Amino acid sequence: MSAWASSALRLSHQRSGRARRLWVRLFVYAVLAVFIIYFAVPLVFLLLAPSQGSSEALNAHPLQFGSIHFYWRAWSNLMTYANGQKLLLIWGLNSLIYSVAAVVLAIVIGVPAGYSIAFFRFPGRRLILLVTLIAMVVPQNALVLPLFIGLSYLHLIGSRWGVILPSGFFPLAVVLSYIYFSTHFPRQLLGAARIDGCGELRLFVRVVVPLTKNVLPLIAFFSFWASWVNYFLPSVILNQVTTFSLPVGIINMSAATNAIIPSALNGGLGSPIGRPELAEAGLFSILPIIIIFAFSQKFLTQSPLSGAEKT
Amino acid sequence: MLRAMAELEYKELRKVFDDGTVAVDHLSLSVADSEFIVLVGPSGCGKTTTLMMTAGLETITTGEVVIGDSIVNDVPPKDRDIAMVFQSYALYPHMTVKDNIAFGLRRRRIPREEIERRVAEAARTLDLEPYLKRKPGELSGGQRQRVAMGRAIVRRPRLFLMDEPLSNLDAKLRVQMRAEIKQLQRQLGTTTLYVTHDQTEAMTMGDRVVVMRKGVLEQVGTPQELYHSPSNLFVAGFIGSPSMNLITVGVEAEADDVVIQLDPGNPGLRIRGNQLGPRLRKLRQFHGTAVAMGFRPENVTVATEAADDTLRVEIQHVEDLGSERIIYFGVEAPPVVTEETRQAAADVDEIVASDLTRGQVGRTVCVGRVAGDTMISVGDRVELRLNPGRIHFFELETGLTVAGDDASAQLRRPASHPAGFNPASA
Repeated sequence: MSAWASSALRLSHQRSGRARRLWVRLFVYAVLAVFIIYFAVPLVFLLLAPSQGSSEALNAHPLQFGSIHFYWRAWSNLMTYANGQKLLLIWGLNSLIYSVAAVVLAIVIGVPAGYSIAFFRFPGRRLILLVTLIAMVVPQNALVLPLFIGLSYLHLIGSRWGVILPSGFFPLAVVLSYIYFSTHFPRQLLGAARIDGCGELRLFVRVVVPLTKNVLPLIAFFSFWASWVNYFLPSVILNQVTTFSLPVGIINMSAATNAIIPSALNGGLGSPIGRPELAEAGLFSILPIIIIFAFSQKFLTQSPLSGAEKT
Repeated sequence: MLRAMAELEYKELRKVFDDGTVAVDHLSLSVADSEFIVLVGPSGCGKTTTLMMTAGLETITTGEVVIGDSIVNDVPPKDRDIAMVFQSYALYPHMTVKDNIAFGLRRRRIPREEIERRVAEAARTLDLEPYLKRKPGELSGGQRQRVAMGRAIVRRPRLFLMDEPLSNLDAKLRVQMRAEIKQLQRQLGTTTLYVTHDQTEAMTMGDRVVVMRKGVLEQVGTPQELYHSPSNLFVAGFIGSPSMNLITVGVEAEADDVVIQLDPGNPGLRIRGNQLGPRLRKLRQFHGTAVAMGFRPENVTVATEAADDTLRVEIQHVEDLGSERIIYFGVEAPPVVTEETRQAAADVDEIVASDLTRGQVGRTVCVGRVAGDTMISVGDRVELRLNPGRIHFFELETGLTVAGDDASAQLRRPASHPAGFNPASA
């Protein structure tokens, strides 16, 4: 976007006439403004929605700030939902467990896999890489049915393991590590370590793993995110409300009210959950992702390999 | 030269990559204990592949690598008792300089005090003492190079392998490190196999130099041997800077002498029979045919007057280096076309390249190196005399040197490896 804008500005300088330059500039800013509105408005709306009380939310202008007081009211409504079981916090904790487990599995399985594909020649290597790439673009939802059948054979339907184990299948982790190892990792380092007396396992643990510091945050972030926002598989596997992840819980909660679908049957009128509460639950669910991203981003700009080779 | 014991030996070593490329072809070589041997050649000549097979980092297709008295083909790198300095240094970026140097020793369960002692000693030798606590990322290129050296020498291996260790340094540091590595190797007395594409580096460092091209060993010898008695056109052109002038000439045997014919209108260049020594008889057999003639820039002198052993040339360009002057002059004879010269020409200009191949270039620009006080300037027409004892002749068909009968038998390459030279007049 900015590259386009700057080249447009440069173009404008070559033309004569101040007026013309002004028009080009205005045009550029207008286009940028459209994009800002397009991306930012829904987020602002999400931030503002809980500030409007339930009744106002139906009528008031969506981008109007109501009262800070309503944030507290929405939160306490969320906490008293379902007899004050504080389900939102339980779901948050569940989501955290599922996502951290997904990160651990993705790294433990994905990094060695990517490393092997990048550095070892073995029969089927190209096929594995191809299948991994295909698996990466297949929507997770398409795999839900076969996974469900498999998990039911293992009697894992309804179990937390039924959500955790499939999250270890994360092809993006393999592909990201493969790309990192084959393009950024100096092969000669492996030779040096082998000559220095390392066996393959020690080589991996002592030399390779310490140098994966700038691909790990990427893998961690994407696997965390994928697990955090995953709805379909947990919604099929989990059947107890206390094992729900946040997306499953929130959808479940919204279905039980008439906040979104007024014709909802479940006696929505008596429920404390309205639009502000759902918006606040949504805010609550994206907070960890933002924190994790900020944390990962710090590491993405550093190179752990500086000094290994010529610069 | 008689050598007591071979420390490293290649027997018919061959490497064929998965895509069918023959990287190294039937390489046989014996390296003596504590010898500094340099493998040199253009990129793709197989020198690094040879080194990698020696290190155990590349598999061997056929043939044997012998280190000491054992065949190491199937021995893993860590058990070959070798240390290697990589082109990229390949330091462990997450470890300090000290840990980098000590890493190989720790893996070998050497007592802690002994490790401390050896690391300290290496650091002292390589002036690395102030940097032991730093990480490679905080060091300059030259310092990293020293750490890589340190990692190799503390191991006290049987064999040092060095893969273009100086190619990432700037010119000045490279010259300095050349001398330091050579001196260090002499002190330690460790047999060293050194790979470079830089013939100057090869000549200045090697006890013996192995010239390779396209996986084939072209010639092995001391720097002097390679320089003064190249066994074929490739070695002649590759070794020396500026490189040897190579032109295509006709040969006529006349009485006891040989007359070199340049262009038809030229009276020719007479070389007295007694100045050719044992080569005379062989060269006379080429009567009436064409050969490649080579002479090095420093074997050219400016003559005071025309004679039957001088060439009349026009000076095209002069580079004044102070102590000497490099002169460029045209000689009325076609250049010698080898695969390399054709390729070099093709990179510059396709038309020139095709003219070269068809032998349509009748003129060769040659280089001479004369004393700095020689009065000469661009446009001068002068008589040049070539030192007859230092003129080289090569067969155009095979590229092999025209030598005395005894020597030529030794130098002849195996029949299965065609020289790949195209006579210009073909």
